[in-house]
Amino acid sequence: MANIITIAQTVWLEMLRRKDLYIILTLQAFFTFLLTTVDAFGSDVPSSYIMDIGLMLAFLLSIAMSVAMGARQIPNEIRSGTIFFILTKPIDRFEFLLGKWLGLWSGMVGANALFYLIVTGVTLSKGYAFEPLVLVQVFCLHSMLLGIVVAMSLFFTLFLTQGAGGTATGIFVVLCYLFVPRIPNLLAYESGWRSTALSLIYYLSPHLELFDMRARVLHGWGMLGSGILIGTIAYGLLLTAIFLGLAGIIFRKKHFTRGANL
Amino acid sequence: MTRPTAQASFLILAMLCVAAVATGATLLSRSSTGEPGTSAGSIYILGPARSLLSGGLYERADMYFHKGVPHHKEEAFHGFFHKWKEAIVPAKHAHAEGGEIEEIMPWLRLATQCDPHNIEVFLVASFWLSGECQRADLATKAIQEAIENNPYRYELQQEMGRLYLHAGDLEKASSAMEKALALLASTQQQDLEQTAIDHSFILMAMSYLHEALGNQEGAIESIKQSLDLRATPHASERLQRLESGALDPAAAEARLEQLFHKTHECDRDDHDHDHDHDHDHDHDDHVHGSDCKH
Repeated sequence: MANIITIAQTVWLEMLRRKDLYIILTLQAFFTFLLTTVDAFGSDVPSSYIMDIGLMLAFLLSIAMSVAMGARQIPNEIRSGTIFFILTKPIDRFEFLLGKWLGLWSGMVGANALFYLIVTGVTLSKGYAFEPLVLVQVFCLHSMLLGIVVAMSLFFTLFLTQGAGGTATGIFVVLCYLFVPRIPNLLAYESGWRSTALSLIYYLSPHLELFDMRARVLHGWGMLGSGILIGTIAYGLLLTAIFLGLAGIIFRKKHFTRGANL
Repeated sequence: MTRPTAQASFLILAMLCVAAVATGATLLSRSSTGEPGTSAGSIYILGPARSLLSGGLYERADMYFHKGVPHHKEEAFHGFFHKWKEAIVPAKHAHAEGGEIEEIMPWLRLATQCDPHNIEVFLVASFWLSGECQRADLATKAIQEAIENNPYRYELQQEMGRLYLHAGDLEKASSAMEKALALLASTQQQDLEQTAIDHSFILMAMSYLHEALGNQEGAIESIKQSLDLRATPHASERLQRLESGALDPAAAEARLEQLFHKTHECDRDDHDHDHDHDHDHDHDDHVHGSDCKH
């Protein structure tokens, strides 16, 4: 466990050293504040539109950051040669991978908390009232989603280059989030082998849309039942475990060469 | 050329490009009149993107009206994950009410900012503001802004007439309807059937407005024009009554209220239609987004 935390700490340090996080936080704050300037035909009734667009930005930016940062972890270690030094230490390869995941995920959850603070602050300043506990639930499922995305990103970069791995993760996340939930709609117009193939994709692909419950806080649908919340988190943990497990299998067998084109 | 000089040149070139596009867009936008057939500068340059964005924001307003529930789409099966998602985010048909309706205004506002020539959005905003939100002053301002952006659209003058009528200002309502009529006659509309219906409606409204103001001659003239356009037993009967000198301003005003009373039909055909409010409540008060007719 100590090894995992040590690796995670190096990831946090790297996140703090790089400028990505600060730029994205500034962007998020800028766009969220910009939304306060919208004059809704003179209507002064507090609206959830700031929270809506703010949370949408938080989702987009946090996922983009998770993909970008996750994709650079392993290739950077190989490119700089530090992987050879680390692997000579008494540290299991899977521990190394787990440390990377934990560092990235916890770092992203921290950054995400800042995104949420900005959005919540601006929303409250405009007088919009919402249920805070529902927002906490939104945050929990969003954090779970980031955990899956980071695991996917680590998985793809173990057999692809940094650029290709990042792109593949991005495309995969978009497909799982936007395309897979629409398969039953597409099947209404398909038959034969296409229908079978699409059904298989529907049941086998990760359903990332389950981790987005923003509508509940935006439209006052109230808190999510604990059973369904725990079930969804468990599904998220399962997906994370699958991607980390697959990454671990590849990482254990991976042969590293100095000066590899990454 | 040294590297820093090349970078500076590229930077200057990029800045000049941005400035040229921004200036062109601004100038063309200002020269735009909103007349059918002419395009605003900004629309000319970013036309499809802005219109699409405006349409998307309008859809968002509609979704807000339905408490975040998107349109129901045909599906081959209601999969396990769909049921799971529905447990997380309800998908039953619900409508926002009272103050909640005003929450759609920022979305409608953003839609009009993206495409100031999308008059449907202005009309929907006006209906809500003047209706359930009880903010007729804001509705009037919204329509005035829409008229500034689209001075050749008769629908906006017609809506302005409705707002004045709602406020009890018959003189201004009559003036706005006359403007609508003039615009209708001078511009070529694409939807001829709708234009003919609107033309007939405006003439009929004009006739009642004249009667409400005690102007028998004007009332007769308008109904005659309406008859020329489309002969109906009701219009013929009305002409006979007016020619006999039987003016009833109070009844005419009441009829005008009825004429301009908009109704709402929701195209969403879900059976699980959850209205929190009293079902005896008059649904005529509902008017909203793109899937609704009013």
